[in-house]
Amino acid sequence: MTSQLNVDTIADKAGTGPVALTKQEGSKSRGHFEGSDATLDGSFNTASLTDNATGKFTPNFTNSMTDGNYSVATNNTGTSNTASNSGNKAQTYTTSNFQIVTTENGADSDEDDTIYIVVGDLA
Amino acid sequence: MASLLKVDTITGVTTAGSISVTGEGNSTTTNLQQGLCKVWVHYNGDSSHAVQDSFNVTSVTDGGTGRGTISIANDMANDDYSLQYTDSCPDSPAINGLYIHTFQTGAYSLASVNNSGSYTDGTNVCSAVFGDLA
Repeated sequence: MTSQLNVDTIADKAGTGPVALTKQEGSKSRGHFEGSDATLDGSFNTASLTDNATGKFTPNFTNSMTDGNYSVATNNTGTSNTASNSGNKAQTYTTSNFQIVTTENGADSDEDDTIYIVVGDLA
Repeated sequence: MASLLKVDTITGVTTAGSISVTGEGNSTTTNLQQGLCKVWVHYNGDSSHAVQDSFNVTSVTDGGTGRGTISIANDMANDDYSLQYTDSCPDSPAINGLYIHTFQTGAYSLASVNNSGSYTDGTNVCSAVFGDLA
């Protein structure tokens, strides 16, 4: 017999801690934005996106991470959307934000469809 | 005493597709559905584009040297999702860049480029999608 549980929130038995998802965990933040306008088109657990300078952006978490040791994956489509020489990196990891740097031919550059995914522990 | 609840399906009461779970640090909650990976695939980057394993993927088609398109079984809600992309490269020509070409609700395409700026086939292409399902 199949079963279905209807709930809004799941916590541990004490009601204050996390539950184990049986050897798996989800992402804690993500985002998708155009470097040209630095506006979030889609996001999760991101309060805002700061445009620091050309090719430099800081996603600010809504709910902070527990430390700066989380993992970030980031990429983009490149401005030319072809075999361009664009690059991505993440740096300056803090509990409340991190910085994305996007480049074109070695120079900081605003890139199209820049994305990020964060995996780690929430505070 | 630890407890274990066994069910086949969990659904939100207030909103069917939204369930909060307590974070690791016990001080906040995170949305379960938002955090789940919605698509992932591991396929051969050569001309076969043979899928080794996948989740919520119907097929991977060859878009030309160094390029592939992943078709999503259950579509995303929009094209504003996020995706991770890696490729294990051959010794020569070494891959210099990994690019996302297109985002669509039912598919996305990826490309690998070598040091000369030309498309080149990788070996093990892996990607994972996070965002909202339709």
